[in-house]
Amino acid sequence: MEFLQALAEHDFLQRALAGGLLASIGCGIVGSYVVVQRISLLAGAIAHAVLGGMGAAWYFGIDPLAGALVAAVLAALIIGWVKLRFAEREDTAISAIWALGMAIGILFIAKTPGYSVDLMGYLFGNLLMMSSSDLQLIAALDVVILVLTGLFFRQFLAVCFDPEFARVRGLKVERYYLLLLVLVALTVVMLIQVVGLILVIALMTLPAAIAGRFTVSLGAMMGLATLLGMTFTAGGLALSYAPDLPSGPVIIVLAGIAYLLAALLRRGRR
Amino acid sequence: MTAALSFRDVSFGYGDGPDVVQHVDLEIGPHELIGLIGPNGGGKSTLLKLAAGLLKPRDGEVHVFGRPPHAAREDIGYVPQFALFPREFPITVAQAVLLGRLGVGSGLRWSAADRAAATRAIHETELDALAGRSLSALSGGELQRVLIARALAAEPRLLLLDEPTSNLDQRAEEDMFALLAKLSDRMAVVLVSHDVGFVTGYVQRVACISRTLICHGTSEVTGEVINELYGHPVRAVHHAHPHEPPPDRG
Repeated sequence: MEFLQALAEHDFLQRALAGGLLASIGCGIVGSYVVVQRISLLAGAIAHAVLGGMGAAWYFGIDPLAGALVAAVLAALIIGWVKLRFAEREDTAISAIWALGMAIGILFIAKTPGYSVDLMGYLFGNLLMMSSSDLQLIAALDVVILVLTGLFFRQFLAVCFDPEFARVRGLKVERYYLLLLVLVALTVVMLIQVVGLILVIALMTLPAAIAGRFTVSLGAMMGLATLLGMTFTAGGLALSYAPDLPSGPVIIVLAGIAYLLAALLRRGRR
Repeated sequence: MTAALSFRDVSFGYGDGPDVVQHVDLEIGPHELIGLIGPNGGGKSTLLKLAAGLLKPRDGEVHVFGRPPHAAREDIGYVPQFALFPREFPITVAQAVLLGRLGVGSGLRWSAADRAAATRAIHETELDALAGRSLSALSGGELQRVLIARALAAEPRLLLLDEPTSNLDQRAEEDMFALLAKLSDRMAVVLVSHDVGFVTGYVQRVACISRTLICHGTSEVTGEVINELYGHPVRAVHHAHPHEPPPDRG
């Protein structure tokens, strides 16, 4: 109740809720691709590599999210290229990009004068700091994700489901795979503002993983994952408000508990 | 008449490795049901992948209805040896079969023609009752039929199948061959099998491959041919085929 009263009164809470709900759309769609393709580690590497871009942007006085966007897309394309050309070295590439991105970020941050409180927000998320321009960025990324998914839904489905067969049918599998990774990169940047880059993988995969247990089509999985993401972000925000806890970790704990319950429920039904 | 599939002096090897298939010449007619047999690692699946356009020959030429495979994709139906996708993938039988229409039509959504072709393929493979079911709920035999339905959805003129009976019991195997025999009325069917005894009873012709082509006649696969193919005698087990009399036990 306390949260609902505060929500009616405070703009920053309204922006936080709107940001969480908007981010859940892209998260539900792209998270479903990440889960069915089993590339959550790859998504984790992209998320951590983002720190390199953010650190550089900080150092040069640019908006950290712009640096995050460039670093995420670059990391996605590099890992994707290595996977497509040298499949056996994929895990090495993932580890290298993961650690290298973080190392570069830490170096830039160490050399940036002063200490930015924003840093903790980007690492662990801070929905309450959501600005109007952040909301606009999330909405814009949602539109990009929705449009690309709408245009290439069949192609993405074929590439995720059975790339060899897709190739026989004449699909440019590599092109669509890289485009999917770019979507993953955009979603990572979007979710960084909600739960921070360290917790991004959990919010991207847990709602989709739960949804996958109860749906028989990718479209339905995306829809349910979106609803679950909205529930977790709104619920986490509400639960964290009164005891003054950081919202990002509360959102993830909520999603984690739901995932365990869903796993137990499915196991019990067998 | 243009051959459905032709290999002209085709050799292929993976990377810098030795040739897996070497100097293969083979022509397959538009309504032929042919079995590709040979030992493991003999190059059967590689030949099929060359025909499907998944691999490019090191030397020689592969043609499907007179065109290179990549230019004849709408004519090719391909059924892989194993389902390469995870069984828990959230997709129904009908959706998986519809994916066989990729590259046939255009547009953002499946057209009425796409859906009609997929429905026909589902009906032909007797999957009607399972169309809305998730793939994870299917048996091995049902999944195999989904793979064939997906290939048929493109309405191909050449159907390539890699060990389609490897996970089936004998009854399901017989049903599968009956379906393939029916399909060969309207398309060429090329079937890879390791089961010499079984496949020779159903197909019109066999091609024996162990790196090179050892035989491709209509005559029976004799003990000498099997010796040459496998490098040692193979114990023949007679399978009772529904369309032939039982062996003389006298």
